[in-house]
Amino acid sequence: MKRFIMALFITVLVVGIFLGSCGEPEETTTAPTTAPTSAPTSAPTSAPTSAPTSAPTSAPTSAPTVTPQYGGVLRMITPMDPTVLGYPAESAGRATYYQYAILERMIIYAPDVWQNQNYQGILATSYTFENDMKTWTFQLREGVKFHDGTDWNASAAKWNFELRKEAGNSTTFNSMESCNILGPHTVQINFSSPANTFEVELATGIYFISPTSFENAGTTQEERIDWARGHPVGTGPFKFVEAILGDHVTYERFDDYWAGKPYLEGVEFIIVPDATTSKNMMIAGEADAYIYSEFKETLELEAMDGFYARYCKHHTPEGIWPAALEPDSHMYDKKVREAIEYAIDREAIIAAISLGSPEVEIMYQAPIPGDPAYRPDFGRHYDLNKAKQLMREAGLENGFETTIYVRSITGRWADMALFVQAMLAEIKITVNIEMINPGQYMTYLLFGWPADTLFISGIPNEPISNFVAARDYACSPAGVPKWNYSTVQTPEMCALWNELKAATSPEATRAAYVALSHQAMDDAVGIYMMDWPDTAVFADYVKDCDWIAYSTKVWNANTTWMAPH
Amino acid sequence: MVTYIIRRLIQAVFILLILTFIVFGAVRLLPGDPLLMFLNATDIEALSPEALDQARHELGLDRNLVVQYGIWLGDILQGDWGKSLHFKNANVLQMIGQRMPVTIHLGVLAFFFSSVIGITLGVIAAVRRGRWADTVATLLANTAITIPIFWLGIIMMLVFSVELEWLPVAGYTPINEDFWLSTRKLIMPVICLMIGSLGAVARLTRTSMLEVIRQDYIRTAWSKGLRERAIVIKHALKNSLIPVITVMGLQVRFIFGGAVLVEKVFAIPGMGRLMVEAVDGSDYPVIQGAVLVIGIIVVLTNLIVDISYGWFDPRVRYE
Repeated sequence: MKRFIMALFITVLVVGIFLGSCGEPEETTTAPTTAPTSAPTSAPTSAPTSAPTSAPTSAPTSAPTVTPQYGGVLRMITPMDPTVLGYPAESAGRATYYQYAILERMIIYAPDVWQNQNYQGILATSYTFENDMKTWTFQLREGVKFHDGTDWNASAAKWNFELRKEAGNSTTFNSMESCNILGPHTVQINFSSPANTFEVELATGIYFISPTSFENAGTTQEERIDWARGHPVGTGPFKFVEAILGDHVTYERFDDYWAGKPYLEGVEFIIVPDATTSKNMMIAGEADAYIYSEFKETLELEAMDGFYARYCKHHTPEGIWPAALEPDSHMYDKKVREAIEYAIDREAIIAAISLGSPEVEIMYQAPIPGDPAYRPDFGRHYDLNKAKQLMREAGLENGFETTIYVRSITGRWADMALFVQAMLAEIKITVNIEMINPGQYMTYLLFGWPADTLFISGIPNEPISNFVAARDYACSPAGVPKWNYSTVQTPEMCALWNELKAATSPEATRAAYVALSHQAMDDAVGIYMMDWPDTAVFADYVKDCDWIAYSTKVWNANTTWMAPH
Repeated sequence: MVTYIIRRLIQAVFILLILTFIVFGAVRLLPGDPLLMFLNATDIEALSPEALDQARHELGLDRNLVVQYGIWLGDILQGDWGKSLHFKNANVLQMIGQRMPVTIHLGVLAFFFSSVIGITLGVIAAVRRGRWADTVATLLANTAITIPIFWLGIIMMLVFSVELEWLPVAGYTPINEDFWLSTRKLIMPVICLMIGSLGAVARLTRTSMLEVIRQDYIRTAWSKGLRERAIVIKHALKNSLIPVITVMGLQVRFIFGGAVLVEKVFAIPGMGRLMVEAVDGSDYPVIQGAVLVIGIIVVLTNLIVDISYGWFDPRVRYE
């Protein structure tokens, strides 16, 4: 009997292992065959006074006549931990999406932002600027309450603006001269210089918290800030409950939300670093959405029944940037930069790494079609002979040795580096590949890349492109930290950059932006490779969720609901 | 015995000092400026070079290594483990306090089951040497050693969670919150974490048992007509366990090492993941705090193992 039990146990164990090795569902290895998720189809919101009472897109599989239902906790898998939740002066990076449902901004991008560069009002119903964009006046939304029951009004707005200035870590707020209350719901802010990127900053990174909760949180400012970092008290449709690093972050419904009671009872972010595990949790029904999903897993889940995927384009173009600040470096010569670009076969690389998805598009310039700076005919397409000719003209027909730095956050860039290494060998450039960690990346990015090297990265992009151009093409003396995406600083580019920074009207800003962008293209400052979309996957019972429907910076969580499942 | 323990504890303090100093220096050799992980990029653009220097000074990053180490050690002794550079609101001691019980929960279960099952398999293989039970046990032990943890985790997840829907895919629930859910969530991670140790313990137990059961006193026991169970458990097993205990002590290190993979695959918020994230983000205070705690646990485990020799073999003296 004992022997029989032992034999049975061993048999079950061995069979289990063998079954396990064959146990992956067929769908997970099948190439995606379904059509890509369609772009938002609803009418764009034009006025900045509209409230986010309806989502701009619905799930592709949802019937348009279904009545939204209350109830349920939306469980969203995400690979990242939050860093700072409730102290807006330190909100930065991708993990700010944790704030979308709990803290609010005065304005956010409207659904037609990529086409018409429009905003939509949240905590402000309207605003004006005058005095060469130095004076901004906001009419605030009435009837809005913070989660602690206090009112959102001009005095709360002023307090928040002054908190930002006090933090001393914003170039825009460092130039704030005064903030005046003009009425119970009217506030005016004055800058010493034109604040021509203020709208974008308001729409992307300036959140508002309750002054009362903050002030009551400690006896010193340090204590209050420390408390606020982990205790967000805002006006959003959900209230913060708890954050356990590495595990979960939970919110509950805010019944007094100004745009009406949200449909969901709560939101739970489940922090799962591994993409395969995330996919399995979705299949097993342990989560309702998977945000910032890995591309491969997104395609695999989309190919299965019961899920839909979303691809948000234009936010993270990816490419290769030469370090060309040193006059004695090879890459200082525009011909070398052009030769490198001509030697790279974008189509071959993207065909190899995009897993056959049409969602990844080739790029030859920073502006996207429709952008005022977009040039339809511009592009240094793959031409090996031209590349060799340019190297000869630069006196480098025997090539040189360089290093390509690759951020270690995605294997995709390492693959790209291998292709580039092989392609540049054709023009006798020997490329060494070096993986760098986030700390090393930030050091290089802000204080400059080693001379004559290349780096591969994604570049955070915004629909309001002058903001991005002002950041990427900044001219500053060596040693002063700046975003070193572009390291080419020709006199022409610096003059145009100064023009952009000094622009005092939207028209002047746009004209300066277009001129600077064209100069950057002509100067071959970077090799834009592809528009790699941000992705998310939802169970098909998740309805009217506009998460990354048109921007990675927007989620009107109050409109999301779940059908019975 | 007491003298021996005191002497070992004093040695442990020196070991920990050397360990933490090496780690303290090593993390500073990692490329990347930790200040940039503390301040976000927009901060840095807005700050003047003087303000950056001031921030560096406030974090103590502008001092020489020995001074920085001395300050850190002094603060540790006063209970101030510092604050995470990456998670600005997080106290390092609290972070470790949250994560360590999770890894200990996982590790204790893995250690217990790998020891019990490993020793059992080893004993069966030795006692039934050359028979089918030995073949199967040895095969299982060898398989256990060679299975990659990551692969096993994914396969078990697909079989038991996705296909059969018996177990949750991932996550962690504290045992005091929901015992059964906690247990169900830990079954697969524990199997992954214990599998390598199980194989090693089983193989070593078998070898050690084979040596012991050839001894004269075991033959005498057989000739006296004692029951097999009494001979194996009472006379042979206890004497064959000394090398096994040594290896089991060493397994504690591998459990912490394996936790890095297992906690990532099963989304468990333990020390392994904390360490990886801290290294990736040049989060010095977290790395140093975590290494200190893990160091203490490993050193104490080794001490317990050494002390336990005396129980298994009364001939061992501690003078």
